[in-house]
Amino acid sequence: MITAHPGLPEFDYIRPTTLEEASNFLAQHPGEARAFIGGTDTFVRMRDGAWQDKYLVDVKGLPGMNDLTFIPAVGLRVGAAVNMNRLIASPEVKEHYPLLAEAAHTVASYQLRTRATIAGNICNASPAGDTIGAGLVYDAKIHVHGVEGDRVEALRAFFKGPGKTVLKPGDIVTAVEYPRPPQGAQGKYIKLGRNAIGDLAIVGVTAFGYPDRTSSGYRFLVVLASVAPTPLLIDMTLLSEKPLTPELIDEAAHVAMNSVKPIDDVRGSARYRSLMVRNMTRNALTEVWKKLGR
Amino acid sequence: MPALNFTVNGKPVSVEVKPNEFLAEVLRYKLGLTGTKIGCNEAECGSCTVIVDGQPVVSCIYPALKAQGAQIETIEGVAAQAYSPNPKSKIQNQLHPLQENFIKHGAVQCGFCTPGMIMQAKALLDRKQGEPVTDEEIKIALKDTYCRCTGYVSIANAIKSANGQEISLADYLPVTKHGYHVVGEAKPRPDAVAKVTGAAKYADDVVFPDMLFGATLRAGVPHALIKKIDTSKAQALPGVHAVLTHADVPGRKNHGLVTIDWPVLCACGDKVRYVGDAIAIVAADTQEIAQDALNLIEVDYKLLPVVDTPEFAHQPDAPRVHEKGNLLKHIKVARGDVEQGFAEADVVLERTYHTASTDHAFLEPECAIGRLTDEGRYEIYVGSQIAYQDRDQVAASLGVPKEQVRIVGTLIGGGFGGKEDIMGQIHVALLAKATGRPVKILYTRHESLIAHPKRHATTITVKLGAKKNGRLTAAKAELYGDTGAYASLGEKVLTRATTHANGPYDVANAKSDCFAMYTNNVPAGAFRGFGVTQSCFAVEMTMDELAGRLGIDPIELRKLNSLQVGSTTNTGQVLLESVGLDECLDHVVAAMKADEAQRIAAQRTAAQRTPVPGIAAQHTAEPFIYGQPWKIGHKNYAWGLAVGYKNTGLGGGANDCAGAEIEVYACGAGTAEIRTSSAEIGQGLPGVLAAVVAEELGLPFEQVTVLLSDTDLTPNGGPTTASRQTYVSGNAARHAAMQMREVMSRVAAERLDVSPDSLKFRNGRVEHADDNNGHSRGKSASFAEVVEWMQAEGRSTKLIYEYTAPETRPLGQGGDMHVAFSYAAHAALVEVDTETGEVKVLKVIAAHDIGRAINPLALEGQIEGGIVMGIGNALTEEFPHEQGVPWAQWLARYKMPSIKHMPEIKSFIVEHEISSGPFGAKGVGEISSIPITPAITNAIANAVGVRVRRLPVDQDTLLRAMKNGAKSVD
Ligand SMILES: Cc1cc2nc3c(=O)[nH]c(=O)nc-3n(C[C@H](O)[C@H](O)[C@H](O)COP(=O)(O)OP(=O)(O)OC[C@H]3O[C@@H](n4cnc5c(N)ncnc54)[C@H](O)[C@@H]3O)c2cc1C
Ligand code: FES
Ligand code: FES
Repeated sequence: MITAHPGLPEFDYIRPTTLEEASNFLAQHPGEARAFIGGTDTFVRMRDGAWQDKYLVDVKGLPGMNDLTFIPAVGLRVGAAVNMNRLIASPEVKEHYPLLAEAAHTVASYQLRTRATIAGNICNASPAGDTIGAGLVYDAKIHVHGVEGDRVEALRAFFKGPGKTVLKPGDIVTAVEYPRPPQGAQGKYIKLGRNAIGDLAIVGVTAFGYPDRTSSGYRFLVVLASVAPTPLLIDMTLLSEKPLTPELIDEAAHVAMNSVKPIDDVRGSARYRSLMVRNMTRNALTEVWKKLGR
Repeated sequence: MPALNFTVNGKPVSVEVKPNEFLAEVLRYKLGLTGTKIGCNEAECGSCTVIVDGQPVVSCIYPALKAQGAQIETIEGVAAQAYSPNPKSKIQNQLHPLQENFIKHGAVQCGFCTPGMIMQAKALLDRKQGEPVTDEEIKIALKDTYCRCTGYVSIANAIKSANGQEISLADYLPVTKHGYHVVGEAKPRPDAVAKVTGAAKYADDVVFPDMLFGATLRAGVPHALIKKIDTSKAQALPGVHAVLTHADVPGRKNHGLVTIDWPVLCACGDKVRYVGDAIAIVAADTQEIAQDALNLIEVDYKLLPVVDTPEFAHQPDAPRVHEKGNLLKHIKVARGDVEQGFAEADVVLERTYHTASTDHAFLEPECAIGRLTDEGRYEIYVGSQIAYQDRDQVAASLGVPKEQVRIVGTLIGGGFGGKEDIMGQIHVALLAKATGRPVKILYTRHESLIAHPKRHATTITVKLGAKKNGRLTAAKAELYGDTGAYASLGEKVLTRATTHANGPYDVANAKSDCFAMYTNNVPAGAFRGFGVTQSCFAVEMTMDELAGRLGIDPIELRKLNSLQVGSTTNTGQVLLESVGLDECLDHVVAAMKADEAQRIAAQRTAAQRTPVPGIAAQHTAEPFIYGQPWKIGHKNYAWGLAVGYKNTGLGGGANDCAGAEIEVYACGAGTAEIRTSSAEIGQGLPGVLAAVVAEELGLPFEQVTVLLSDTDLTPNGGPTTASRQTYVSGNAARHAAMQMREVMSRVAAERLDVSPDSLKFRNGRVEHADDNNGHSRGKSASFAEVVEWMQAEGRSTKLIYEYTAPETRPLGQGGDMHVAFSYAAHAALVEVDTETGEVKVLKVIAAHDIGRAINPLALEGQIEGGIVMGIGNALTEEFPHEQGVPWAQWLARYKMPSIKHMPEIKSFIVEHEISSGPFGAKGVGEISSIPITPAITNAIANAVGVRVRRLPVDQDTLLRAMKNGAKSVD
């Protein structure tokens, strides 16, 4: 049974002028009010009737949300309202966080990236969110303004399930902060789509490595998207324990494959997904190893 | 309501908007800037792109209030000055370079994507600030801005040219014959200026004062008995003006193009047969109220078991979709004795194939407006492929004489066969009657996807027998076609699938049987290729495999058996002329060889510079052997090839006729207008008709106008289907113009005192040209003068010509089943990733025998668009059902080719004229999308050794087959 198209619900468009006002409004209307920035997720879900919020709170114009700052000693602070095209074009991002730019570049299309934001991508908490992997390996911090004031959450402890985060009613993400990556770090994002049917990714692999005092001389992290309820961070300790060889990378790819239990659906079989996790992880890690100057 | 203050195209605007209104709607419906299109309302298609503060955005999900204080640019603001409908204005000079180049390169077909494309491209060029733009940048910028018509090649060329990186038409248009003044010359479409400026009107762009909005309640269940329909709550909702059900249909309760089996509205106590069945219709003050009313209608169903596949439908104990049973038709083709033929064969090969249901995904969702005129007639505004049949069907269901109904065709934002059936036409008439007010029904993309007929999913078993020498001795096919819940054009489509199921080959013994079955899936009907897409895939895949068995080059095998002048088809038609298949094949093979030689030379040079182990050795072999793959890293490459043919015109004994009216005017230098009800679905018909008339009357192309699709003002041109319009309406227009020329000759001859035979019509003049060199002897008049003389003499300046195509015979009676066939050979170069199973089409070489190119620019557009659609058919498109419920209920779930799928295309035109066609022309609209699919799957087989016999190619199963060493995906 399919329902007739539910259509767009009535809603009010709220444009608060201060963070306090916004937080209070959101806290007073739990389950009825939603913050948005780019709205690229929000209004598609409203249009297809999946979301039915009564109040949509535009937090884009709030003070500080549009700042994109890089302080060498601290890191990069991406205001929640900075759109992805602006992020990608930033010389500092290109230089110090190329993985973030690379991942953002794979999101939707140019015209959506003029509105889509990293904060929205993270808050949306989709298992497929393309920029989340970069955030996890960089160990990003989420700046939140809530009714009780400001606080900082670690991205690595941010997700509770598909579409679910630690945010409470009234919480507004104001910025995403990326610490200065370790010296010499390299990354690679590979997103495998499906030729037929829908456009959603089958798997997204973020690989990240940097020189460290380990047996191999490196430390590696991998994040898998689209194959678990939330993007999955895997510490590739085995790549630190022995000198790197292609065989070891294969083994690591195997570990990645065995750490997820994908499902069968119309977009692909579980078997295929597992296999792709392995292949893409191997490719991404190999690429990073190459960039690290093997 | 809050006020939105912003600047639109440089002008400050203040307008009241609701918080849940989006920018696209405000621009279109509140400011009347209907150039911005809405194709999906899902942020998927890009049609609604506008520029906000210098950045392109999809305006369908941009809350209007977010634009407070913003600077908005829409398509209407792109030209230096607003477009004026006056053809004599100097608008051409004021167009933006993008607009000029979109016109010049033929990047505009149906035009529905054009505003979004241009805005997207403008934002890109604005960003580049005069720097050269690369192909890659264009692909990134246009990635999610879809065009279903052009195949993107012309769009990319137009963008580069507009950026000063001039690409000349001569560089890529295929060589075609010249020899006439207008016919055979590349001409921009007559409606192109309106389409690039946003002035073009599609159905949803038409507004009437006092107009109500309609909506349709869909069943939502695939098979059920309707126990109750209660509309009382909906009736009581304020703002609702009418809620109608089955009982309110005064006339014929069903509609249908051939078989009248599709309920206008399903009756209580009767059945629903698919999820999109219409139960009730509503007219209300606003679209939202109409939607709310739908939710208040209570319907109780008793669910029935679902018939989900044609094979199941054919089982004796399957539930019945219709009372008469599940078999719509058993279609039979037979020539000679196949059993005897197989007995004679040295090799016999039998294979089964599956093709998917697919959606046309025209970018403009269905829309219709109905109103009653002061005289009490019904006027329906709709972008329809068959105006007169729409008229007849509306009249039948309303229970009024045909003359009481007028269909006014608006522009159509893509059809591809998907706008032949009745969708909202009858509903808006019923609602207009009930409310006395104009009523518009606009489908959402969701509704369009679940309601309108699709391409037939088929299961086809092909059996071929051949002698060792390669001569085919027998060809047999068995087809099951899923026509869904209602017949639509199922019988016709599957007849075409059946007659073409033995391939474009002369085989003495041939037989095909097709079972067209009803199921509870979304109905299937016409779709570019009309069944031949499916059977060509099956036959051409089998041919390559058979060649392998025989140890014969597949190209040779095709040439040994191909149809020639003098051949007999499987329906017993002797082909007397215009069979250019071999020549098409020769072009493609030569180009493939040349491309291979180039690649190998380049690789040799590269290998000499930096030797890659394995690669150099691999390519010291002789240049080109069809089917030989090569590898780079974990990617395999190979060419694949296929040929095909497709009838032009209805054929099969149908009375295939078209009328055209011509009228000449004395205004300016003299003009002519040609009128026919035929539809322009983007294919370029107006350009063809104008060219034909201009040629016959010696007028410059620009001095001929074309009026289409109005049952009051234009004579019946018949359905726009079966690639027939160039041929049938083209002939009607040509003959009308020839008759007009005769009338004008007589008048002019008398005035100029010369013999009518000595008069030549050229350059907009009528000249006495009887000296040996054809030079004018000075006695001449302008076209306009001659028209004035006619008027002065009280002669009519218009006439109608009724053209009837040569008689054809029904299937099974032998003789000529069709007036003409178009032929094509396609070759595709694919890349298969052996790690992921992903397939890419890198290059396509195509040759088409279309009789005669009337407008090479429009022709190339049809070819490129057809090829890219064929790539979709092979690799990306599927409209799956599970127990009658479609999965792709949103555009996000239906993947059609984007600019990222655009291959490099090399096109050749073969012109084997057909004497009965206008200037020798046959159809091209469909053949261009037919052989491409098996060319791709044959290429995959060549590249990785797996024959994919199920469409679309699935990377998952392909990879599995590769890993398991399986030879096929079945
Ligand atoms: C056609 C299309 C294609 C897409 N393709 C991709 C893709 O390839 N990859 C991908 O990862 N995503 C994709 N998306 C999803 C979407 O564009 C991205 O997730 C985007 O980054 C969301 O950003 P936004 O600012 O538009 O989010 P919004 O829609 O504004 O918000 C998204 C969610 O986050 C919440 N939220 C937003 N801002 C805040 C805040 N400051 N504080 C608290 N909560 C907040 C909202 O309540 C909402 O639940 C696609 C979307 C569309 C429509
Ligand atoms: S209508 Fe906005 S993207 Fe399709
Ligand atoms: S011209 Fe692009 S969709 Fe028709």
